[in-house]
Amino acid sequence: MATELYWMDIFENFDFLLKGLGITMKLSLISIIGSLFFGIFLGIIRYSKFFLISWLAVAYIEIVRSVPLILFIVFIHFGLMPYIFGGAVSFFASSCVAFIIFTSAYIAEIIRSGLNSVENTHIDAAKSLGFSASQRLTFIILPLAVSRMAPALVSQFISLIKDTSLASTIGLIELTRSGEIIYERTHHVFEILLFIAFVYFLICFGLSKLCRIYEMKPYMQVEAEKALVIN
Amino acid sequence: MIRFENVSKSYKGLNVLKNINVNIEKGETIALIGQSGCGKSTFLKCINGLVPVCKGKIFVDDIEVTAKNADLNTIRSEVGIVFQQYNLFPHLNVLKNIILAPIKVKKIHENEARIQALCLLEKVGLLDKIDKYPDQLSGGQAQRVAIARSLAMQPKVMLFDEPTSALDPQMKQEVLDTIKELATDGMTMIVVTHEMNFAREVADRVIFLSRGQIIEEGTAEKIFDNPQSNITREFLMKYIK
Repeated sequence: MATELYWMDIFENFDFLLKGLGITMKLSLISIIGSLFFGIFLGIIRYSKFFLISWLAVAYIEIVRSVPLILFIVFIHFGLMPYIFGGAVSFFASSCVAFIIFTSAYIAEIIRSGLNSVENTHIDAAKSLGFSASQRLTFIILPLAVSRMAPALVSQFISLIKDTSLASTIGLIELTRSGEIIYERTHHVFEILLFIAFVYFLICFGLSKLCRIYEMKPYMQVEAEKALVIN
Repeated sequence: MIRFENVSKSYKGLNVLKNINVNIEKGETIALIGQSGCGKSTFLKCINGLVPVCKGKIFVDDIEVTAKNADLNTIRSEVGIVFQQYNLFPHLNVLKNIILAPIKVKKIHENEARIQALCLLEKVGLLDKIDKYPDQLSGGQAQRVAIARSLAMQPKVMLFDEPTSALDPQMKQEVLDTIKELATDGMTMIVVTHEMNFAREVADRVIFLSRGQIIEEGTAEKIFDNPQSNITREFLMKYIK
């Protein structure tokens, strides 16, 4: 039984772990931005009153939400990509595509429920002032919806960041996979995995804290500023 | 200015408006009175197309609102409406609430819109609230901002949907005073109200609506002092003590 802890493993392989972390961050960032854009697009389509395209968005969302993420990753890398491009695509590219497809379905639902949460009274007021449908969406509905969607979006992004570890299954050497490679050699699983867990925690907790600030409504910020002046 | 021709509206089999015919002249102030649920709000919302009518035609300044190809956004930009619950945009401060529509809809230059907003805020006595958010205003203040927001579009007509019903008595007065001032300026207005004294004081004409029908219309003196119909009399008994 091992009684001694081998923390040196972390420092000796620090550069390798850092490289893995870089890949995780890059993958997360690209997937967040991609799924946000695609998700907003899908969400607005789903919210729209055009039956056919709205139905297509529903179909997409329901299908994607009913399939396990890991299946997506494997299917896209080993099935879909070679089929489309006639050869293997990089692990990184396939992972990005898989995460964007998967997460955008969830984002779309968050966007739609946020849009639906905007009261008819505000929409009526905007209509009465002569705003066109796209102006209403841009200046009134979306800004109101976004402040309400922020908590749900952040928790979706936190899930996404943690889920990027699933890309290790197709061989992408991101943070989790780099850890695996190290402990497969040294057999010190405890130290490495604890460290990696801590890194994930830092990123996710940090993001959650950061967004708390943005969740504050504008008038709350005014109040906060006032409090600062008084104190 | 506003003309209803045989307008009817029903929601799910319930007749909200029945064969309404009204002609409102430029510069007239109309008080629309009647019990809750008699179709007053629907009457107003038909005028700017927020509620589509089932039958009949409505004209604003000789443009048919009810036409299939009516340019509703343009018509709405010329018809101001003030709601019972103010409906200010909660994510924008007072100034932005007022200048957003003139800039985006009427394409007025931002500086010009700001100057105009300042004038309007001075008029409603809220110049010091310019950078406040709607949540930081009292009900009466919010309603006056809502009036300023509508006026910023320089509408031909102003519609008020029970503008003081959500306010306590002392706030009511400040809003009523603002509306009174508009009437003196010669604005064409329709005010849905339960404030009978206010209606008597301001309205050129009072229209009494019951169960979607116009029961009586005429000068304030005629309606309040000498109502012809029993329904009107019964209604007034409840409101004037």
